[in-house]
Amino acid sequence: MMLCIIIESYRLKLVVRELTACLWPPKEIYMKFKSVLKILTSIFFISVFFTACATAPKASEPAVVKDTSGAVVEAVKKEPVKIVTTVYYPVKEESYFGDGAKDEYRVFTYNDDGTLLLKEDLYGSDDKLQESIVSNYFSPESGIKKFYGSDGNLKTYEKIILDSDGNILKNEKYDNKDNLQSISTYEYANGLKTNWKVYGSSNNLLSTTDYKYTGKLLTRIESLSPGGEMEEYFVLKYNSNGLLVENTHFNSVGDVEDSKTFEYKGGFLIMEQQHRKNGSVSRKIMYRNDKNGNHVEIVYMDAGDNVQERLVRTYESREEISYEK
Amino acid sequence: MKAEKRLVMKNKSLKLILIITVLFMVASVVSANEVSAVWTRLFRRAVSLTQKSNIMTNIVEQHNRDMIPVLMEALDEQLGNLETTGDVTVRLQTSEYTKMIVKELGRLKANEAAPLIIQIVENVDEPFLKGEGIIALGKIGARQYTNKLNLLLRNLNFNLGDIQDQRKNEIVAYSLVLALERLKQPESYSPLFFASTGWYSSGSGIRAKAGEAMLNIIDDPTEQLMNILLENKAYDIKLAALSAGSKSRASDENKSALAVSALKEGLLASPKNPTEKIQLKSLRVLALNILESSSSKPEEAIPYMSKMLEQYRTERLYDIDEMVDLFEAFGTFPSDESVKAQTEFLAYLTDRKESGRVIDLRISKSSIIAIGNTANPLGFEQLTNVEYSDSWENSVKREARNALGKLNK
Repeated sequence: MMLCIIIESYRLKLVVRELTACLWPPKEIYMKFKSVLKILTSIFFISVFFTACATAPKASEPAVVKDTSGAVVEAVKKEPVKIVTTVYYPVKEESYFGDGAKDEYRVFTYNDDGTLLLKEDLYGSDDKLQESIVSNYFSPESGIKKFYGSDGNLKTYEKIILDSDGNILKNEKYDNKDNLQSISTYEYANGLKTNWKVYGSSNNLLSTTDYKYTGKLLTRIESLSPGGEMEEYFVLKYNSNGLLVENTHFNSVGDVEDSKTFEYKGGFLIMEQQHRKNGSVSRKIMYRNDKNGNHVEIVYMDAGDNVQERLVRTYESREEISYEK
Repeated sequence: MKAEKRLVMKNKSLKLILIITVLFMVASVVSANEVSAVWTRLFRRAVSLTQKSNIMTNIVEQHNRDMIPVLMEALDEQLGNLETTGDVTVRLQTSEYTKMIVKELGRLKANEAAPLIIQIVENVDEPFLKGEGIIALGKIGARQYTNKLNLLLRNLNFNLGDIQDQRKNEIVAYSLVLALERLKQPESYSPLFFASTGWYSSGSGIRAKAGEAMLNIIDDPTEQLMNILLENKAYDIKLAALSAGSKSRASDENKSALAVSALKEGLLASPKNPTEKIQLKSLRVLALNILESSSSKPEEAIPYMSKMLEQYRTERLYDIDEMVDLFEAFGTFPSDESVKAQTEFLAYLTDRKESGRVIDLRISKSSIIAIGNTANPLGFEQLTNVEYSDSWENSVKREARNALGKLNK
């Protein structure tokens, strides 16, 4: 039973990663919001635990336990546990002006079972299409994103290469005449991004960014020139729950350029503040979350608390069923 | 084996979902701070317009407020380059590049960029870039420039430019309408009103959009419309002002007040040609219709409505349709003054009828129905005269009987 609980707990962490991945990059944010995930994991764990008892498949069904790469590590003849998890994904994002008037909105279109994002359409307040982003998946390891303008003409496109874990390895950006504009490459170690490089249209290195971790928490980001000189860096601090509370931007000689602070309630991000180099607040972002931790409303305010924009997100969900011992 | 396959499939599915979410968020694959810092740095290093444009494409696709400073920096740089572009291709590329920056600043609602954007609006002739700047000012809520935008639209409404510039001017005018609608300032009502009645082609959509904008920027435009109604001599403008008032969200009281003023204007004026005659009639009829449908029944309307009765008696100034509209309005004014005017007119009709004149049935019946609708007992005597008259047709007498039944006892 304990083995079952451990496996479930690990599996649920993966699932919770998927939940949050709709809005954030999966790995870094997973580390940043580890304690949120822990809470969510606990909530799901309880429900799954009971679901497991209630919905276990027939004992005659063989059960196989796999590691994260999918390889069979052991075959046991215990009852498989059915795991039902809810995956949330945004289907609409509406932008409102500070006075409440509706501005543009974005509609996300998925395949029939909601597992593949196929298209993002941006509409103006007059419901006219402004731009479309169409994604095609050639395989789990490669895809292409095409950006279309309001006239339906292709503006730019990106070729994306991923590893087998879904991490982006390379992103090539082209204009509508197939001219290469820029390339971004990424490196990972133990599933964590460690390096981002940007190349120009002639494949010349433009910038290098190194990501450094303390344990699994991203604590320092260094931006380097093509020659390898430090140009600026960021120091990230976390609270005791592993939640990111401060991200400070320094120039090459160590002077603060600006910073961001983050506030949480119940493990969910509720406020982000941007500070100038002298510490004064320049901007605030307020988050309203649903019970599942999805940001359903994001309010952008200036330093005087004047609302500049309000984003309202609508989510749909699907149930993922998996079996574990 | 089936369960094993299912698990393998499930693992693949989970992996795919992760991949999908990564693809979905590819633009924000790293946290925003260092992304904006990197692109800002790369932008500053870029030398050629092509390089800048490539980097700006990446910046714009981030759609991130952290990018506002570099966008403003890029726009500031462009302001210095506006005059230096001679070659057509370069000019086009520069314009596209600048438009991309301005549009994104608007989408990000970057109010701090307003002083830069207004310079684009004021210094650029290319209509699409100018228009993008104007729209951006609206989106960022740059109310400090409302008067400048009002003035721009007002000047375009005059259509004093060269005829070959009309298409260009329409592009700018449409942008102005969008921006002013967004800024929602009462002082924009007048230029929007004149755009809604202006020279613009129907294909441009300006007039229709301006009409919508008028409804959106102010709930009660009575004050603005009253000024337009009284200060403009053109009857079509007066009519458009009254029409705008009737469609507005103003109170019934204010709509009636506007209608009274319009009715007064419609009675004072003398048409110089058939077109003006039609316009004046439309003005009076619309005013009467508003007074009929409004819950507010101002006594100030009655002298003008009575004047119409008098002018019909003396000069037959109004056709039957207009008189029917007049009586329909009169029927909703139950005051003694109103009913006295109506009964005097009915007495006049009865006198003429008894002296052997032909009276139009629609006028006589409308007059009788109106008195009945007021329910005011002051109508009793004249309605009774009609009912027992030997001269009136039976159908008219029946109307009088019905009307008598409606009067308060």
